[in-house]
Amino acid sequence: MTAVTATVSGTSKAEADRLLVERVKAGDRAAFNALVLKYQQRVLKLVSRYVRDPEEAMDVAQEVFIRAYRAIHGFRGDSAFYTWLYRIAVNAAKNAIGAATRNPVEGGLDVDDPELGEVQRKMTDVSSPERLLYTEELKQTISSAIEELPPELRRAILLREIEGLSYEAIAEAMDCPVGTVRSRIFRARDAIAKRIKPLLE
Amino acid sequence: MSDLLREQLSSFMDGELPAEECELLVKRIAASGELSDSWHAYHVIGDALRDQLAPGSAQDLAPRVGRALDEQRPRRRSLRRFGTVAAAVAVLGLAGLAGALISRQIGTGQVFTPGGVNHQGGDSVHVNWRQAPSPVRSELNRYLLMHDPYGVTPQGLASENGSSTATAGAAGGAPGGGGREPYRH
Repeated sequence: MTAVTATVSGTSKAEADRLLVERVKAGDRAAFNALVLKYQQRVLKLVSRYVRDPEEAMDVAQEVFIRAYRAIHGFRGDSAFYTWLYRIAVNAAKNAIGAATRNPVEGGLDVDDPELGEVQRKMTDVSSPERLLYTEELKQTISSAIEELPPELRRAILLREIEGLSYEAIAEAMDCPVGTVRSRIFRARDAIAKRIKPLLE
Repeated sequence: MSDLLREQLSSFMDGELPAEECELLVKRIAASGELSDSWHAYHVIGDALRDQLAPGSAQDLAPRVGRALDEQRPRRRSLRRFGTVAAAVAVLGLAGLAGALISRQIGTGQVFTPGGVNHQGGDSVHVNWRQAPSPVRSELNRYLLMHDPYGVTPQGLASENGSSTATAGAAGGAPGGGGREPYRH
């Protein structure tokens, strides 16, 4: 690969979030939905590090976005939107752990009971593989779709998504105009999106 | 949905769309389900490539959050509606109470109508309260004392006698003066 000066366009990405946040503040719920769609994977992954039970992790992640929606008028944009969301997520996850520790008896069952603990673990184990299988299938589909891309499209999207290079830096690396980079990244995304569409519905 | 729009979307999520095109595109993402689906898919691709996919079906989150926010909205509306109804009931209750009091006064012959009202020009109106029954005069005095910052104190009133008229209107109660004269028996 040609040596390039890597410039990650973080400021502009923050600008995209700022525009969405402004619309949410103006009462546009669909703009908030766009923010949820953008960050749901990262938030759920973060929460899942603290909360092991998949259902509870989903509940906590949902609560994170609801708290964010309610507090969005207080978000002044001093930090990136995700930094702000990250703090809400960590606090919510820690609170969930704290609540679980304070209330060890749930639904009349003592979760510290070794036998019941085993039952609960098995129940969790039953639900987890399905979810893990789904995530694995999604990854595999994306991976094989990338393998099938023409080399210039594959290289463009990998430089963007994994290396985090700006379009200008990719254009320099691939020795082509920025407009071509823009088009290649879009075509790559669009081809992969068509492949994963059934999994996302 | 055109390729051009989706290409703009792709550039926008990379922070590479010219600023003047961003505003309109954001409105379109919010308005178009198809564009929103592409926005979702493009982000999932990025998350998968950076190994940021959550273990589980994170795509269920957006509809769950949407439903939760929808459920909270009508509850707030119904609370507002409850508040309006409660206020209306309170007003009706007060009106009923006032009506009952007036009816009772009519029944006992205690309703008072001022004997004479003389417009004296300007904002000043002279009302002759002389014919008022004792409870009305007493209420009137209390009202005038409570609402006149320059008026005499209740103790002062107790020792005074004489005048039989009360001046109502903007002209009464000059600063530094005696203010409105309380009604005297």
